[in-house]
Formats: sequence, C-alpha cells, structure tokens
Amino acid sequence: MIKPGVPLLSIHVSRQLQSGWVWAALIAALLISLPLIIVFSNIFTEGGPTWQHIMYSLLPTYLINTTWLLLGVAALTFIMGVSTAWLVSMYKFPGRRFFSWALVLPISLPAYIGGFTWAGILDYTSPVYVFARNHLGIHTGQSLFFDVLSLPGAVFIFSLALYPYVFLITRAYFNRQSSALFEVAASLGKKPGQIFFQVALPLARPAIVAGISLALMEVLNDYGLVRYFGVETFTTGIFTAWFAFSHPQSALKLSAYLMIFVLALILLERFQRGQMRYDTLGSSYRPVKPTTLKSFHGLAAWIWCMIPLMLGFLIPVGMLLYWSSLTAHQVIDPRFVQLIGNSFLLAAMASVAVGILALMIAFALRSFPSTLMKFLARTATLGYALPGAVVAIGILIPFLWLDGYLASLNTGGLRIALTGTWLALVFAYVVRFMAVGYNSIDSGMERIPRSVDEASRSLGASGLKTLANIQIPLLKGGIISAVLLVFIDVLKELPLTLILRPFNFDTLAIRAFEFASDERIAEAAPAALIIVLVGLVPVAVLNRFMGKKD
Amino acid sequence: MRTLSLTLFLFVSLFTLLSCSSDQEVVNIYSGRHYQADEELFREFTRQTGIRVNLVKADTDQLINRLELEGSNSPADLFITADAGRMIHAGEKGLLQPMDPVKISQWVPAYLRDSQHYWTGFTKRARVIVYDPDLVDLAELSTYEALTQPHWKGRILVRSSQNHYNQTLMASLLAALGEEQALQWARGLVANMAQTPRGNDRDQVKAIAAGVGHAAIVNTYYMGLLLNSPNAEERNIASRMKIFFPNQQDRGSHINISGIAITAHAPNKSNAQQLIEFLLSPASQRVFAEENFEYPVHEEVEWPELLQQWGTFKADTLPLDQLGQHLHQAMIIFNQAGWH
Repeated sequence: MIKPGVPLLSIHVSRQLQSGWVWAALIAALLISLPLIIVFSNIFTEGGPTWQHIMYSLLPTYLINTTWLLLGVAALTFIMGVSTAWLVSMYKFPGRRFFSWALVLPISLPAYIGGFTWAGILDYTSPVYVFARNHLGIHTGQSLFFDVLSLPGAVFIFSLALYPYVFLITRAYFNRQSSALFEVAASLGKKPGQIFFQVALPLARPAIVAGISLALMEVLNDYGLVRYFGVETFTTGIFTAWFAFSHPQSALKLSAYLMIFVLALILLERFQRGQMRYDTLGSSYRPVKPTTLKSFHGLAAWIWCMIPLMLGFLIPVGMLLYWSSLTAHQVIDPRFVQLIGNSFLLAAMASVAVGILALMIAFALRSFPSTLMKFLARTATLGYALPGAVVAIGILIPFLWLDGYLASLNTGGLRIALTGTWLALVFAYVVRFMAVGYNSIDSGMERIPRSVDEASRSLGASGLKTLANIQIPLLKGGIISAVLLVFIDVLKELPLTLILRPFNFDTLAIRAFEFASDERIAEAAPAALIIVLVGLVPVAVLNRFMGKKD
Repeated sequence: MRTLSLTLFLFVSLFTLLSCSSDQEVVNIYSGRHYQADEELFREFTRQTGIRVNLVKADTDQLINRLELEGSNSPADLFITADAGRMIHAGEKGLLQPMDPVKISQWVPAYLRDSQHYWTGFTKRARVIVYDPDLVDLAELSTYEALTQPHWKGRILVRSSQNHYNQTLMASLLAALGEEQALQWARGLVANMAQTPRGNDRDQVKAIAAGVGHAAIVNTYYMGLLLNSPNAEERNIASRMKIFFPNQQDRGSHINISGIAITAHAPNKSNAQQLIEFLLSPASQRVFAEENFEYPVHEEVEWPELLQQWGTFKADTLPLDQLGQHLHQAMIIFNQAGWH
C-alpha cells in the first residue's frame, strides 16, 4: 500500500528519468486511459429534458434491479468459485484433477449465448420440455420448472458464466499458499471449517476481490443478456438515452456516473483493507499437502464440483451440439475457416498486448508509486465496467482525430484511415480488457514480498532486471492466466468488434450474434460451439501450466 | 517531429495497403441488417457490375453515431436500417443526401419512401396480431385499439418497448390517434398484458402455445422464420397459430420498412445509386421475399407462396417519413404507461 501524500512526481521518479520503461509505462497508461477520460468528461455536459426524464422516472427502478443483480452474482460466484477452488487445492477426492481444469470451461461460453441456450432448453418448444410434456405429462406452463427470462434467471446465467474468474484467481492463490499457516492454525486447535473461514478466506481476499470484481464489471457492461431477459438495469438506462431518445450525450453522462460508482466501490474495498499486506513469508513456504477425503465426503465434493460444471457447461454445450446437428449443413461454409483465423489472431494479439502492458504498469506502480501513475492505472481498468458500445465512442473520437491529422499531412491524395483497421480494434480490446489482465497480475504481485525487490535492488540490479529476473518468474501463473483470460474474452467480444471492425471482416462471435439477434438460436449454435472449442485451447494451456506446478 | 510524422505516415500507408486493394470500383455499406440474403445479393451485384461491395454490419444506432463522428471523412456510401424510425433519425441528423428518384419513384409506392428522396424502403414487414384460433374468436379481433378492451385482460403478449418495431408502431398510433388517446392505448394494453414484456417476437408466439396469453403483437417476418425453423416443435406451434391483419376497416395495418440511403459524404455516389436500384429490381425483391419472408416494396413483384397464404391486406399508407416527429413522444408514452 502506498502512503497518502505521495507527491505527483516523487523524487524516485525524477531520479529514474533515464529509465525509459517507467516513462513507457506511464505513456501506455495514459493512452489506455484516454478513451475512458473522454467518456468521463461528458459528466459535465448538459443533459436536457431527456436526461431529466431518464433520471427521475426510469433510473430508480434500474438502480434497484442492478443492485439485486450485482448482489446475487457476487454471492453466487463467491460460493461457487471459492468453494470449488478450495476443494481442488486442499483435498484429494475422485475427479479432483479433472475438476481443477474443467471448472474453468464455462468461461468459454459467452454469457448471452448461455442465456439464449438456457432459455432454449427450458422454453416451451425445447426438446426436453416437449418430451416431458408428451411422454411424462409434465406441464409447468411457459417454461420447464424455472422461468429463466427474469431477474433470478439473469443472476443464474451470469453466475454460471462468470464464477470461473473467481475460481481461477482464487485457486492460483490457494495453490501458492504456504501450508505453514494452516498447520499453525491446526496446532492451535482450529477445525478445518474454522481454518477455511478464519485463515484461508481472509488471506485470499485480494484474489477473491479481484475475481468477483471482474465478474461484477462484466455484469455492469452487459446489455445483450439483460435486454433479452427483460431485466432493466443501469445499462438499459444508458441505451434508452442513446438508442430510444437518440441522445448519446446523456448515454455518455450516465456512463460517467457508472465509472464513479465502480471507482467508489474499488476505493471502498481498498480503504477497508487498510494497511494490510498480503505477501507471504518467502522462507517458510511449503506447498500444501492435500488431505484425502473419505468415501462419503469424497462423493459430496465430487457432486458439489459437478453442479457448476453441469449447469454452466455440459448441459448448454450439449444443447448447442444438438442444435448444430440440425443446422450445421446450412450454416457452416468455407468462410468459417476465415472466421476462426480472424478470431484467433485478434485474440492472440490483444491478449499478448494486454499482458505486456499490464505487467509494465503494475510493476511501474509498485516500484515508483506516484499519484499520477496510481490514478492512470486505476482509470485504465475502468473500461471493463462500461458497455462496449460506449467504450467504442471513446475510441472513435481520438482515432478519427488522428486520421484527420494524418490526412492533413498527406498530400498524395490517398485516403488514410486508422479507424476501421486491425490496429484500432486491437487497441480497443486493450482498453476494454485491461482490467482482466491487470487484476490478475496485480493480485499476484501483492503476494511477492517487497523485500525481494529491495534485495534485488540493493544488489545493484536495475528495475527492468528485477522485473525480468525476479518478478516475471514469480508471477508466471498470474501472467499466463491474465493473457489467457483476455484471449477468451476477446473471442467472445461483440459490441466493440461490431462497430470498429474493418469492412468485410467477421469473427465467430459476430456470426453467432447475427443469427441469435435474428431469433435464430439453432442457426447460431455452430459458431457458438466453435467459440467454445477455440476457447478450449487456452484452457488446455492453462491446465498444462498449472498441472506442472502441482 | 518530422521523422516521427514520416514514420507514422509510412506505417499507416503500409496498413492501408494491406487493408484495401487497388483502384477497383467499390461501394461501402454501413448496414444495420445482417441477413445472408443481403450478402448473397451484394455478391450478385459484384458479379453483374464489377463493383466491389465492402460491408460493415453493426447496430443501427452505433452506426449513426459513427457516421456522425466521422463527418466528411466517412468512407460509407450507403446506410441501411431495419426500421423506418432509425432512418428518419439519421436523416434528421444530416447524415444523408437525396438519391436520383427517377426509377425509384416508379417502383416504390410514395408512402414507403422519403418525400425528399433522402431514403427509400426496400423491403416491408407488417406488425400483426398472431393468435391461437382455439382461444380467440375471430370476431374479437378488429384493431390495435380494440386490444385494450377489458375482455382482453391478461391475454395479450408483446415484447419490450426497447424494441424498435414497437417504437415505430407507437409513433404510428400517435399519428393516428393523437397524444392523449395513444397514452390511453398504451395504458390499456399494459393492463391487458399476460406478463411483463420479455424475450423476442418468437418467444411471444411460444408463450401463446404455452397458454400464457392468447394473442401477440408480432412481425410477420418472425412467423416466416418459425414456420421454417429447424426445430420441429416450433414449426408445429407456428402452423397452429393464425395471423390477423388489424385495422382493415380503417387506416390499415402498421407497416415498417428496411430502408436504404446514400450518406451525405459518399465518396462513390453513383455506385451507391446503382446498388439501390439493383436491390429494388424485381429479381432482388423476390430474393428478399423468398428467403427472408419480407414483403417486396416493388408492387409488380409476385409474392411467394407463404406470403400469399397469409393473404393480401390493407396497409397503413400514412407516409412513413411523417412518423419521425412522434418517435421521441412514443418513448415517453411507453414510460408513462409502464410498458417496460
């Protein structure tokens, strides 16, 4: 933690003027923050009558719904993510190895596809319900058992799609936790349950918070799922202002308020955490030896881990497979190869870029904490909480300005534009997904004792050398999960890709969306299924890497 | 600074070279529609004329915003929407320019295009009442307005007011009834709803089958999709339902269009004009009707079998360009009436 009252440019920084990488990190953070600052600056614009109408007659309901949605998703992702992470890291039970990677799988299914799929599984014409109705005589109205198009339904879908964030980050944390702490607790007479609640949970706080805040930001930025489910959230307000009242300024102004809200939550959590530090004592580190769970307990653990996997992955993917078998012959054409290539390349470029930049920014902040850097690093992660369509405005404005400037340089008459190129799109992904990379890397860095940096420095190593030789090897897990999470997020990304992509350029997510938005979910299934398959690649890499460490 | 600019310039030139080809004739489209039928027709256009079609498909409102931000530097020549309201709105923002009306005004009826030739419809859809003939007596059905009568309580299904088709429908009711009665209509309909609006048009039809309500306000186009669904149960349900065209005794059923327009700063204006005329030609119009179950706007084009089965009907011929003035008020009415 940085003490308050650090000057804007501390003496450390001025001493380090010659070290280019700190400056590079600062400029990178500034560029990434720029689109978000542009959005935020609209907080000062005049709202007009549209604004009044939205603020007073609509927003109160939207806020209540959003609050319930956030609380529900926070609670469910916490329960599912942390409990399963604890089980697979601390215990031996049948299927433990399988679950330690399989529980990540639901992350490859975009939330809105999950929503459409579950609605399709439970709705009146689903094969399951048709069978239940015609052969078993079960008739439960519009949907089978559970009306998924509702607020609780949205909580359910979001939680299943997003708990892997919590699982991944928390598991990495538990895996690196020294068993010494738990042994001490046990020797003081604590029971396993007490150890979990009184020792492990408080210690894992940075990881849990990092995971849940990613999940909640994802909920806040969603529009597709909540619109289909008829749940009116804060985002509905943003898009009502923009689309229905055709007043983008009000939409941006609302987005600025959303940024303040998210920032306030982050700061509140930081403040409440106070001066606590979470680095572990390096010398006493011993890996945890998992306890074997006996028959009944082992079975219970198996069932508990199976629930999120079944609901979040196996059942919906099964349904997508069934739909694909009906439509694949119509929908799959040679252009699919191109789609896979596009999706894969974009995801690879963006995830590597986020990984490098997040690492630079996090380390620069750790080594030379200045108020400016702190501010920029925080701002740079807010893009994840905003709807993609809003981020797109923040991207378009500077890019179009740059295009104008380039056009003024160019005397050849050739029309040059960065807007609508790969470059703009990759930059947009960096802005949008910085939080995913940064949270993962930053929570990993928290765990590395500062004394390590100090030792390295006192032995005469430069900052960059410390980063390369000390931090990166220690942070490997965090970096790899950061890159892979961004990779999967880019594969699923929709609103930014839609508006910023080059002419004649499609991705898998776009192909799936086009059918789904046309209410043709069965035709959307093959593309959705391929997103899941491509998403398996990073999950497999992740598993291989994590497996080595076990 | 010079070297920096030069490097940047070279880098960007390389990028441009990679991203677009030589000086072939092109036409650039921003489209809010995303149907395979459209792309098939664009390919056919290229085959016939040699003009390459470049396409970006995205959300209509986002495209309007992008056109606005790009201003005179916009690469777009054509703008396509799946809703009249959005097109009117783009026109109001000064993003469009008039097209050459000579051929178009012969082919497309006046109420389906802008009187100043800033845009024209190229397909149309009717927003109709779909009902279960076992639960609804045909005599109960007459107009959109009649759906607010008390005997419809708890029987009506309709999707959210966030939906463009509902917004344009409300604008047409405002034009026909005036503000006060339109608000009363919205209130009456909310009072008769079988459930809070959720899901899409297809879901409304399925909800009838599930017994949640008895009649739904739906676009004809989605009935076409349901009848041709890969899911047998969906086909089964759709074939049990019937379509009713409301307001046949007075102004006619509400019609919405997919619209096309030339953008204000189109770099390839004549190619754009050519593509519009191609899409309005009888051959293309048949493709929209056969593959997408949309009604042709070209009056001489024969309807495919499914559309003929649904029957001919009287359309509300209030010029669509007059709905623009009511769109804002339509949203306020939805909110006042509690139509989410």
